[in-house]
Amino acid sequence: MANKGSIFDKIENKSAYKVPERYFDSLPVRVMGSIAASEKSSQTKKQKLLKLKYVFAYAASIIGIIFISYMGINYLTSNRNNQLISENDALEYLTFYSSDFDEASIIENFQETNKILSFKEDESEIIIYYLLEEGIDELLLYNEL
Amino acid sequence: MTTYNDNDLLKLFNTEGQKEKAFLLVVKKYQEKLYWHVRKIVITHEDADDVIQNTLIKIWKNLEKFNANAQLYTWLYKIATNEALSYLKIKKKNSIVNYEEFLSTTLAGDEYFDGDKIKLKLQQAVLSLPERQRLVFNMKYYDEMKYEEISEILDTSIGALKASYHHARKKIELYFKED
Repeated sequence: MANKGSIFDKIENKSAYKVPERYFDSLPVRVMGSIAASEKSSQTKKQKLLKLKYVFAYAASIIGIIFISYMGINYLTSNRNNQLISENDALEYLTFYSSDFDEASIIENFQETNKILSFKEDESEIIIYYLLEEGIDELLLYNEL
Repeated sequence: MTTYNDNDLLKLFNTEGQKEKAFLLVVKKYQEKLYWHVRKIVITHEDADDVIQNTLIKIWKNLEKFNANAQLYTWLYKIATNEALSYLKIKKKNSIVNYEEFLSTTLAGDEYFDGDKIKLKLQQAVLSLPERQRLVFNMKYYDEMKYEEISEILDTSIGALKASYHHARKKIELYFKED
């Protein structure tokens, strides 16, 4: 193994290190103790993680429900807003864009939908009475009509 | 007392209710060899004790996954070597002085070192070697392992191991001549 005259011929290849007395008798017991302790701590960690998992799942489901509800409400409200035109908007629209409609098409539309304005007999009398009360010139009114 | 070969121990380890018994048998069979291997890497008993415990805990955790086609003995050595080298790396990182030099100077006063002058000097010469050469030298010279086994443990070619061992011996001889 060693060359002749080498330092290795003069030294025995036995290690000079020592261990405390009965070290190898106690090592297996200590190792099993360490294993038991580390398994216990890893089990506790696992249990903690499992608990956390449930908490996160619960929180996530609540957040999910809140989010879905919010989106649903938002969707319904925006639909309603789209469908309804406020009176002000309608008035503003008609004021500014009344020139876009010609009289004939409006009348035609009313006729089609049977919504021609008509006054009942008693309503006509009320109107005439009102006009007289207000002192409106009858002749002017006839001419206008 | 019944003697078990490695395959029997592995079978026993995988038998329900026999895991602890099998592991204890593995520990009893290999603890000394692994300890001395680790001790020569980390040098002090306290460090070797820490490393061997970590090694055995790792073996316990991974023995189930051990591939039965490989040799148990080399697998155990591999784990022990890696643990010892990682431990040493941390020690070196945390040391403000050259850690090998520190070990070399404190070795003489170590209560668990029982060598004469020449053995102490040999240890100091070994400590002056680069880590890889030191590892190969210890495994070949002290543990009398075959190159094939060392090759499997260190994942190094036999040629490279022979070269490392040769260089290590030359450096140690030179260390003695220079002094």
